[in-house]
Amino acid sequence: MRRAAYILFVFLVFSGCGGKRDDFNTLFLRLAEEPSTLDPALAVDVYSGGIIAKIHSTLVRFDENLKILPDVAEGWEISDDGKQYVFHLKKDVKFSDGSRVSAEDVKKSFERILMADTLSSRKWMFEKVEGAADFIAGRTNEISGMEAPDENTIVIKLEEAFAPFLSILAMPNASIIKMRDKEITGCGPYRIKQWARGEKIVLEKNPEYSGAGVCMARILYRVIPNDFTAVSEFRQGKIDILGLNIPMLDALEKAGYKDMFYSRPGLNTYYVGFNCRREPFDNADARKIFAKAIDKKQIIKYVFNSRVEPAYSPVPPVLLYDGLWAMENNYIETTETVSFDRPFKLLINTSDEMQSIAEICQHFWKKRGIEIEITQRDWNGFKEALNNSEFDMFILSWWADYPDAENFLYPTFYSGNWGSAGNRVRYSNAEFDALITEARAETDIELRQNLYREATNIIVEDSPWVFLWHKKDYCAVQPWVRDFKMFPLYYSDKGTGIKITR
Amino acid sequence: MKNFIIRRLVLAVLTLTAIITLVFSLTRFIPGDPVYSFVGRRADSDTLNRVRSAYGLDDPVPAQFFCYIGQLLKGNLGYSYVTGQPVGKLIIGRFPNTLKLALTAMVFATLTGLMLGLLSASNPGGAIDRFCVLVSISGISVPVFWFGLILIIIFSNLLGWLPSSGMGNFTYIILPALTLGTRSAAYIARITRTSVMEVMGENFVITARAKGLSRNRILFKHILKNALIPVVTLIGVDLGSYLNGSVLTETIFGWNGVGNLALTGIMNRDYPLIMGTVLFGSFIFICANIIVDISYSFFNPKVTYE
Amino acid sequence: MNKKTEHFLRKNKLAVFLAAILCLILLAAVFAPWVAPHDPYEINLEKAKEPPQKAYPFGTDAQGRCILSRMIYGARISLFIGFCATASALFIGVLFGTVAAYFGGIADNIITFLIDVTLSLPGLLVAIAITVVFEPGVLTVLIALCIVGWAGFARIIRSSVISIKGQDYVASALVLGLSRKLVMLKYVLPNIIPIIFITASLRIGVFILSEASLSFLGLGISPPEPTWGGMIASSVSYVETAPWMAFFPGVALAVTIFCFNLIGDSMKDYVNFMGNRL
Repeated sequence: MRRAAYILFVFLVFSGCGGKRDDFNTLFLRLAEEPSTLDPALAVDVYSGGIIAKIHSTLVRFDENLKILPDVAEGWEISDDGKQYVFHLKKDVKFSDGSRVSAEDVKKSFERILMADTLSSRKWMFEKVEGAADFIAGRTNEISGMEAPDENTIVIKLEEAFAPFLSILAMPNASIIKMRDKEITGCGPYRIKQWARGEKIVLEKNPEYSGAGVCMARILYRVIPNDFTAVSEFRQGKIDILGLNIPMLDALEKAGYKDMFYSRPGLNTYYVGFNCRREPFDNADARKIFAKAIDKKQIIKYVFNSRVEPAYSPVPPVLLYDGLWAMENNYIETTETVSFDRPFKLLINTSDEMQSIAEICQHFWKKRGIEIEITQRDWNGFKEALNNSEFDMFILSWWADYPDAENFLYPTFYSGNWGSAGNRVRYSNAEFDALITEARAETDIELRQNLYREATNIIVEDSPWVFLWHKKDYCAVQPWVRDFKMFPLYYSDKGTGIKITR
Repeated sequence: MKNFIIRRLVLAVLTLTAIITLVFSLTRFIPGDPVYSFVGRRADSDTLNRVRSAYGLDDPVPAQFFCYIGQLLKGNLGYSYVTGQPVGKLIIGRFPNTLKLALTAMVFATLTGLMLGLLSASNPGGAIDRFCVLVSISGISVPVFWFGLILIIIFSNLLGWLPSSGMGNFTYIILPALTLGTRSAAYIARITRTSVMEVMGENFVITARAKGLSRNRILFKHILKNALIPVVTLIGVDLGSYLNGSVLTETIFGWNGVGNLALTGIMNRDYPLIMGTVLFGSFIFICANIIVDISYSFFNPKVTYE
Repeated sequence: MNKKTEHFLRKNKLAVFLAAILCLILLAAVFAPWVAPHDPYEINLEKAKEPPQKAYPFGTDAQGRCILSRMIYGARISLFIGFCATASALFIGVLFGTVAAYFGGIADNIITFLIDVTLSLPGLLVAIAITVVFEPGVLTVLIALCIVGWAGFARIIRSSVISIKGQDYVASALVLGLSRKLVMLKYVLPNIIPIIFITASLRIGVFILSEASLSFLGLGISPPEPTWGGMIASSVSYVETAPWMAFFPGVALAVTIFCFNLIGDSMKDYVNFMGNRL
């Protein structure tokens, strides 16, 4: 008995001393949450989007500097009025079953998103395409504005010019797929080898992929919901690249992993949203009192160790090519005390981070005499309460679907998008509506950016959100990973180029 | 005996029916709309409605109920709203993991519990006894999630001996099994102690002692055989409750079992998945109890069921 | 206090000691505003994540709040929920248990069936489901714990009443012509009181633990109200950089439940020790 215990002990001591690696062909990654689906038409979360990007290809894609690159399409022309897009497909792109990707496949992939039976909530991606509305309503069997004149050409006509359209085509939902007996086949650098639900997803190299740079034979995603255990697994060398939040960053920094960190500005905005239809938040001055009571610099300094950028507008500065950001100087916190006749309901979800932010906001408001009650709901209940306007205020973040300022302005503040379509604060301003509509249709990039800036200024002035901060993306990368690049969008990393060395 | 088993089975079916009705009404009559779990942040209300009707959520509740029962009788637990997979397949896929964890935890609990209990009982009131009693009560009192964290800090972070999360070779199971098994170990120790002490006082043991049999022989041959009945009951019942998934342990250690699946289901309001996992859990629990009851009469012929 | 009790207490010094600790925790909870060194809601970002020191004996949390003060206020909620859940579950349990045992027949069958159904449900899952779907708060948690917890009491009370009903003195009382109601109140109920106390004391720990588990999963009481389980949950991310944040609330939880369990145990011993003279 004693000997057995001794052997067990010795075994444990030596088996645990990880760090040694014998598999140089597999990249080990962490999934904080299991993706609910890998169907491009249905995927709405970053976890599924990140994986879909590796097993599928889109007409165009983004590089690490947000430049649009050809992917399935080798080139494209946009008409001067911005209404017609002609894409020429590469001739050597194949699905992982070996068949060629044709213009017809592209058309079918896009049609599928709009079909009623697919139940996709991404129909907005193609809503500007001519005839899309009729197709969605089932009045026509084909989208009139989408044609494949020959095998290698696809022509898309828009009802009106819509500048972000090319960016939207890079989203993972716009992946080119082939459906056969409900099985989806993709044409990306990898293909799914195994999906052990709740445990791991294994991708393997797609032998039919014609693009360059697939150096890994496999990518293994492990589902590890707990941040703390993920850090522990990284320290034992069992995860190669780990996305970090601030507590994880602190933990790894303390343990001496600082030189493995990478970071870059993220395309997101954290905010407190007001219920603009409810008193007193229907008044911009009242909203500003709430907004200015929050000392975000202090929060950023002490809670985030200065690792996030303060936000002064809804749009991350990189998307507006900087320029107008004198706003920071105009921003003064108030010290006046106000009084309201009732406590306000602040709605948050159950994440620890949101709870912490809510408690701190509550503290700052209390200093100005404003009483807040925090209501914490699970994610589903939270979204439902948001949709039904059962709140005075809420805390949430908005992450880019595509790198265009429009993505931070139109869904979130346009008066036609109230509720689940994105404008959860139910903000409405005719002047803003006109500007953003004009900007969306403007084909000249400079003019468009100017319109965006004007629209942004209105939002800043009206303050339907308290702009909190833009988070930076951080990750820790093991020293044996070579040629690692950080991508600003979760779906622009195709898993190519990266290698593991001995 | 035969009658007893039949009666238990009938009762089990009735209980399960009641549970189905109960949980079904719990999921349908309470506030909460599951569609938000599977549409994105930019969903138009038309899509929301379409999704609702595609999942039959806008049918009248009784119709939904009978539809569910009908499918259930065909052995179909329905399809997960979120992943679209058959619920039965999802549960069966996770069950081996839960089984592995439950069995390992139980083996650990039984060995430790019996050892502590016997140590205690061999010298009641002594220092060892008091120590064992304290240890066992501590085991019952420590919050599972906190204990798990402490184990991770010590064995994964400070010592680096064991992985803290996930599935893999057998080193992965040690910490979750310890965390899960501690409570049972403590209970088993207590029951063993009490029951061994009770048996010790009985006539046949006193006779055996008077006959001059060795201490060990008495302990193992006479006392343990009789004292184990309540222990076996406890093991059976505990195992039954582990098999329906230990939510907390599985969450902390990222163990891919039924408990984790159930929690995901609840958080997403994935009604078919909630129904499936709760039903499965109750089913296992009821089965375990029936088996325990039947085995009772094998261990102790004195027990009869009329 | 008679001699035998005194003797028992002398032999069980540990139980007495733990009872004292429990009283201290209770007192601290009741007089929290006077006992707590700081305001438990006072956020002080400059002082975030401070290790234990003179001003903050158990350190501060991520928002710079005093952990000791939060634990003292957290004791209020934990104990309140523990007591209330036990009391209400006990009430339902005693009611159903005695009704079942007293009337027998169909009432007994129905209640036993209900007990069986409740006990076969995976308790924590059902509690989680209830707290997820209803507006979070103390009441929701109480209801959830009660729905899951009453059956255990009911079963024990029912079997105790049945066994007492079968005792000779009850039978003789009935033969003597006393009404069933009177027998119930006078002979049966007083005899199950020790059982009620013992079970309650052993059960209260389970309820406190369940509340903590719910809070740990982020369900239950809304912030910034401190609860022990919630404090542990929000410190999981800081376990490496600030281990005290999770450590002390966990200890408080464990010690409290330990006290209840051991006291319940000792009460059981005491009842056995005193025999039928209670």
